Amino acid sequence: MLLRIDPDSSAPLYDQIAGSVRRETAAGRLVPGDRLPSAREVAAALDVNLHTVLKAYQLLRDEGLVEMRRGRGAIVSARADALAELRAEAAALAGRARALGVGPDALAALLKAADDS
Amino acid sequence: MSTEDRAVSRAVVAGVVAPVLVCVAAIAIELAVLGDVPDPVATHWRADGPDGFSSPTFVPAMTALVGGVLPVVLGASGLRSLRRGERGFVLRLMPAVALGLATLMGVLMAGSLLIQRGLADAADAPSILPTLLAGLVAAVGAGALGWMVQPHHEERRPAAVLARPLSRVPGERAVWLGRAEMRPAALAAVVGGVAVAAVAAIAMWVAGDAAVAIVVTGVAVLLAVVAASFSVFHVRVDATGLTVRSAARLIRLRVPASDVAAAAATEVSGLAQYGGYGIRQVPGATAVVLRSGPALEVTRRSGRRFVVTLDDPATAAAVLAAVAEDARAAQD
Repeated sequence: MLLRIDPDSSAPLYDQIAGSVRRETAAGRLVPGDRLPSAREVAAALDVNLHTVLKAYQLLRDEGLVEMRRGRGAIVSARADALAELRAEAAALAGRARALGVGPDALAALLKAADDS
Repeated sequence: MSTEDRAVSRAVVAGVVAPVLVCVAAIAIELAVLGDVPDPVATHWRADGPDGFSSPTFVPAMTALVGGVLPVVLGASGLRSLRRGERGFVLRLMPAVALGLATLMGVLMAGSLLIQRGLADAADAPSILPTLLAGLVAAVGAGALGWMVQPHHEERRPAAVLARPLSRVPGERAVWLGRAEMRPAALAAVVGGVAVAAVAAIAMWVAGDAAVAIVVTGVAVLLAVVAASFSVFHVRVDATGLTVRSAARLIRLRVPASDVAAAAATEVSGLAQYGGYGIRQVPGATAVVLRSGPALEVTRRSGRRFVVTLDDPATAAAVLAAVAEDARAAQD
């Protein structure tokens, strides 16, 4: 699993870690039933505080993307399949946005707005 | 092309056909003398004479199993790799070992009956040592023959795809975390083996001899520790380099980022390239091989390779190439 964080970015670190997991899931590299590495391992590898990673995992659990199981850690839930299913449509939409000169941030805002209404 | 075909066909001859012929010949000799040997016959010896006895028909049955089935399984195990075009020392060695094993068991088993011809009581059986010695000599000879009938193997392994460093914005940290795992079927076999040993240990404590129970328990615990240490490895690529750690934390292998000359994705065949599975040392490489298939191959500055089987080795290699670049930049 590839995790990347940019400490200089304005986005909080836990959100970036959660974003890495979301990206891996959307790309199909993480599938339902896969176990995420332990929070301690992630914290040591990225050289961040353990609580930052735990907060990221908490966020993913609240989204339903992972399930926390006692003794087994964080497991990718069935929701991951739904995310992977939208991959083709997302790629098509991103391609169309690029053709129209709409950046990914603007597109994300557009999607958020569409979801709110 | 003709040499390739010869490597496969000679391996079949040395590792399958010849062991079967040796085994069949041994069984034929055993069946021919079955009427002349005492019943029961001696089947186990100590230094001063026989101490184990069985029905004479047990001998050909054991010959078929240990002198036939086992060598053929061994001799045939590398054929798939050979057909795929892979070549290597181990692939040539295994058929030769199979033939040697079949010869040893054939001579030993048939010989053990031949020396008991005409005896009234198997307790009078002579020493097995001369037969054992003859078997060992014949086995070495047969093994050498099995080695020589096969053509020379030029080491051939699939090409590694060198990774381009992962692109990052300045200051961005990238890490890769994954696991090296066995195939589920292989893992099930290991877990089954541990379970059988555990049940045997419990049965010995309940119904058996205390001394045996201690030994069996020791074996069960050892098996469990080995299974826990070698069935799953955690693999981490971060700013410090590559770390491969057994799930039970007993084993830790590292390649520091500053020692990484190149990182690549490749394909490995455990049996063909490393003679099996686990932590393997072969000339020029150390490998953590839990299955055949995709693997990360790291070339150290000394030229020595470190290989670990992974899903998605391309990404891991890209991250490792990136941190190696950082480490080199920091040194300069």
